[in-house]
Amino acid sequence: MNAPELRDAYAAYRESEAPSEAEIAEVWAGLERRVHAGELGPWLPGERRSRSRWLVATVAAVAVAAGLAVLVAVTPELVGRAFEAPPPSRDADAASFDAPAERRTQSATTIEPPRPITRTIVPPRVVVDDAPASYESIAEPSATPELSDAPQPPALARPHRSEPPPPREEEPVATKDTSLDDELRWLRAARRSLSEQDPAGALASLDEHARHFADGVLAPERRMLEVQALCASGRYELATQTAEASIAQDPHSPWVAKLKRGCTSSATK
Amino acid sequence: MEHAGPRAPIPDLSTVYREHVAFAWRVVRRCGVDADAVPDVVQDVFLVVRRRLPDYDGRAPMQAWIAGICRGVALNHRRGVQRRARRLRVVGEAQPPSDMPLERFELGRTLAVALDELEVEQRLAIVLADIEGLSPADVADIMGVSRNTVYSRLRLARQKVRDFLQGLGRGRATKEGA
Repeated sequence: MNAPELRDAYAAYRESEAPSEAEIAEVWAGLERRVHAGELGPWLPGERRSRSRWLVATVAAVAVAAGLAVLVAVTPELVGRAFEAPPPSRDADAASFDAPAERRTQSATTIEPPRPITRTIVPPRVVVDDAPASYESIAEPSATPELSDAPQPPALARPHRSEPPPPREEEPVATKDTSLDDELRWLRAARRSLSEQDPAGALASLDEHARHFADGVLAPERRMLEVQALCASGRYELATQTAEASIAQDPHSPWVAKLKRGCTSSATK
Repeated sequence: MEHAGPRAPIPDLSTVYREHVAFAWRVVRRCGVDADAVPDVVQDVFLVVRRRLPDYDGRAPMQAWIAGICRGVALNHRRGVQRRARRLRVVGEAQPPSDMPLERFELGRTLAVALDELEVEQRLAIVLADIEGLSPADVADIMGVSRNTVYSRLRLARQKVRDFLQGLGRGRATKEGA
């Protein structure tokens, strides 16, 4: 196989592997639906994931803030206790605290250690969430030290998840799908009529589509089919006017090229 | 943040879609995505295109930029799909477009089968460079390899495609002779 033959095969491949107009329109309709639903599409390997970074940064900030909150709550107590420690006892037998017996027998000048801290710190409630509002709950921790008689060590605050985030709002995909199916039904009927050389039937189906879905997702395709149907019924002038109006109304429609060809494209089909 | 120089106006999604959907369709298909999954994967491709369009700097041709996205999305898709045993696809399983002669359609489909017989990297190289007309430098960027590697893959791929098509021709001739 020589080079020109191979090039010809390449060209044939490009033509045979190209999507049909209907496939192009259907993919576009689905794409528009997903864009309206706020979909961003898949993340590619190595792509900068700002969303993930934001999540990681939020979690890290929550952890740091929680640690700081605990430190702020504990430090004054530690410092305060250190300064408020009982003065060196001159009377070892006073024994008004729980020192070990052997210590009580030591010299009266021995400085006794401060009593162990018996406060329990209730960790602040930390909300781990994507929303920046979570910072508010960290900035003003609701930790209120509670006194307890039990000699427990200060509990370290550890961020924990509160209630799970509220479920996302249901996307109205089902209803959209249903309406898209209905739209497709009318347009398929119109296409069928056109292929059966029945432009009047096609126009009737298109009128029904327009009545139910004046601004439907497939409205651009409807206008293109309307032009084809008008061409097929010999109403060339009206077809041209309809095509021009359609282009003016939606200059970015995927059907613009076909609309510009007007009745020429239907004649060649 | 200011840009160093003036940038070309960013085209809108519908324009990009209209101009490149057929190209994306073929690239995705030859990246090993099943025919029935191609529309969904192409939608994914253009969702990514929409998201990243503001970052497109125009240094590489738009087609090369989209081919890179196609490759990434198709790889993602294939990772999620249970791998199936490679099978020779039946020529003519799809319907030809109404305005395309059947013989020519079959030639295109036969080449598609020949391409599917290649290893993915060789296939992508020949599809992007020889069939879609991208430069070897752009293909190297898309595939993340050196230009020499692209040339090497192209050479092997071309030879295998030629062998496949010639073998098919000899087989037909033998059949007709008998």
